Amino acid sequence: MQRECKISVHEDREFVTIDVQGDLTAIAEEAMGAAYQKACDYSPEKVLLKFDGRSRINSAGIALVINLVIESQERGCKVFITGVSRHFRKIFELVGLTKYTSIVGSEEEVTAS
Amino acid sequence: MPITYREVIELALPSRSGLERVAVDAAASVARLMGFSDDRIEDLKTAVEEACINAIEHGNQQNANVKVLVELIADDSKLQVDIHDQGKGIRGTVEKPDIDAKIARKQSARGWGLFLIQSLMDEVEFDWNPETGNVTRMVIHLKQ
Repeated sequence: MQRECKISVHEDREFVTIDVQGDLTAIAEEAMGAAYQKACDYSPEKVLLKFDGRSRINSAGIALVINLVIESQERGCKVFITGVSRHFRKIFELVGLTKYTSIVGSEEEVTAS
Repeated sequence: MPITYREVIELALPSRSGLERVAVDAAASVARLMGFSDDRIEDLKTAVEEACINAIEHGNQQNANVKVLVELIADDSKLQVDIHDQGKGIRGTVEKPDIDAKIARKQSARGWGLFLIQSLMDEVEFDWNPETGNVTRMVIHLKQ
């Protein structure tokens, strides 16, 4: 009933991208954990969480992002987010995640930051 | 004198994770017919999803033989969504989620459902009685 969630990891010279295709809900927990561990293999200073523009998130998905932020902070790694809808951004602002992540319009903004 | 109407649409969902999307899509369809904006429909979808997940997981313990009843009650000024389950409802005080505490690992990363419902809907109430079970009642108003 939910859009399938496919998560993949890509390395750039400047940062590592975790590419999320689909809705971020509880069913994505295992895939997100595995993707983050793979991202950490590159010891990045920046991680970009890239959504597909149509992705939805619920409270369980918010918890996955919070866990990713916690682990990234402990590694001294900044978290960036892109590809989110206006509603998705509103949810992030409501819960306060914009204090701990940067929502950017493009990958170039991650490189420049 | 304004024309008034009242439509009641009922859904009975087996308490199985994922089926909350049926209620989400139905609520969104009704809200669209009523003329709610896209932004308000997105708010409604998130609130209905969270309330149904609570009903399925906490209220009915994911027992697919027990139904979550969703009532969509539309009139000319508002949409009310009642979500019924057979749980005991909210007991005691619920810890308010705090992003700083969660990032500091002083709170679980989870626990945003009620917060989102209350933040996104115009009116929210929770009711429980031993005969009818638990109901989460949410209202959004059409702004004229």
